[in-house]
Amino acid sequence: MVRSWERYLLYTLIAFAVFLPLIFPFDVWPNLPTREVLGVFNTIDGLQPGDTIVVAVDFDPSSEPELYPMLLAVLRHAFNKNLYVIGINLFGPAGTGLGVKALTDIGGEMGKVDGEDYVMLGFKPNLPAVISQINSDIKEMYRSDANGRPTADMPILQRTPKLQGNIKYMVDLAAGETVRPWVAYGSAPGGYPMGAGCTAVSFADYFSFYQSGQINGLMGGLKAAAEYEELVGKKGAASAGMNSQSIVHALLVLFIIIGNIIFFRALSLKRAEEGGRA
Amino acid sequence: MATFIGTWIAAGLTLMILSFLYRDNPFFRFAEHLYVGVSNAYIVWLVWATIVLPDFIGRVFINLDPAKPWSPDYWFLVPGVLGLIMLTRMVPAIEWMSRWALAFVVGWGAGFVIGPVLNSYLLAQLYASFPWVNMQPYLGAPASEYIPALINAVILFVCVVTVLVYFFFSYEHKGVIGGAAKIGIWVLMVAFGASFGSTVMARVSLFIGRARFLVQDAEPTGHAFSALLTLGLLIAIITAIIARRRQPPAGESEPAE
Repeated sequence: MVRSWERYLLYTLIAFAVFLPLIFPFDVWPNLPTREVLGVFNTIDGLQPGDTIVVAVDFDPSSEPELYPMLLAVLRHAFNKNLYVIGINLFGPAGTGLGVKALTDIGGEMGKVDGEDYVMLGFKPNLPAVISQINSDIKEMYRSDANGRPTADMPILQRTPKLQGNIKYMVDLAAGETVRPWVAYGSAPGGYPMGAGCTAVSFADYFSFYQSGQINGLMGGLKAAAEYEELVGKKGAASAGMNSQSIVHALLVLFIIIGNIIFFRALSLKRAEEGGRA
Repeated sequence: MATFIGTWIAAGLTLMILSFLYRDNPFFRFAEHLYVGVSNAYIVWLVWATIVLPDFIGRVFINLDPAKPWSPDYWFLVPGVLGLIMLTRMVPAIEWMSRWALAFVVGWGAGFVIGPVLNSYLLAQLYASFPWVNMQPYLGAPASEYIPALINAVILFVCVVTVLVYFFFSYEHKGVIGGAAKIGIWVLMVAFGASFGSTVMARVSLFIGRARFLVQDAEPTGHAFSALLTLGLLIAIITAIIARRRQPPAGESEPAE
């Protein structure tokens, strides 16, 4: 049975392991890019200036620590390559604000213009229907963008009236189950390549889509975000958090080892006691 | 100034939520209820402003952009009315009407979904499980690449088949079927282990996000002040809770020795 002070001790140690590297930052471990992250990076890197990509902000504030740094890194990379970016959110209404903020911040930093170089389309319910519709006509589905401005004369949507045949890549940053419908109703019938970023929880689930080649890159959790930051050459929140992450992981392995030693010691003592009684 | 105040309200609410690590308490409850209320209100407003207004009212009843010519599109009344009769579930006497809308959603959904789902979730995944498909890119590759890829492809195939056998309940799990099912359950355990490891990483990441907010975003010019203040507030909250719990309820005398 876990005594309450033991629980508080574990919490305290985890808190120290998280807070101390953030208060006293250090740069020891490089975040070497994995093949899955390179899949997304290399595809965006290989596009020509003036190409258009879609970045789906399919997460809300509850997954923000993992996926928002990923979003910033992908946008920074895309704008640096002079690509046009169409942002969209089909996960839930609360994600739209995050998309608007990221596009405005990074777009502003890179001198890009809202409506010309990028647009955030916002949220619509019924994901399969929306994806199918925007594959053939974006403006019919989105008459206004996330800021309420009409899309009819928006330059970026004049160049890209529909996804099919117009966009060169699609990245879904997903907190939930949105990667599957984007593959089934978007990428497969639309014929455009797709990559995905997801929370670490979903990484194992989505790996089968990467293995089958239905998506050509997969970024999982804070670690992948830190790898992308490293590739883009601008370290941010994910890289800062990976120091804490690494220390907490080492601590958890230590807890598991200590817990097992205590468990087996208690078991052997109990058996010895029972043997003595017999 | 508004950003500064907003940030510190967020920091205070984060600490209130984290106080649950000690135990359930009024600070946690307050923050939890505030979160539920505010997020619901935000979502209701967003759905109204970005969906109902432009896609229903703005297409049928009102011209939202008076600078441009507009004519009502009465086809949008069909989904609009279907959506409204969904709400009849709240009135028991006419609850049956909501089944029309549900029938439409289920019928449309089944017809629309079956093809792409079979294609992308079943056939494409099944195709990618076969070793000869996975080995296509490695034909003619040097042995140092070919052999590891072959081992991977065979392991993948064996895992898929044994897990499918584990979920095959038409025959008793004995003999060859039993052996394969046993391997299948080991494969499942490894998959659950991988998922659990990833889940731990995800949860720690969420805590790191909040911790980063407390020590860096809440005090952009330096960390020491916010870190100390954060720690101080946390200790103050926990001390207040402990002190409150140790006090005997009003009107009750000290228990007899």
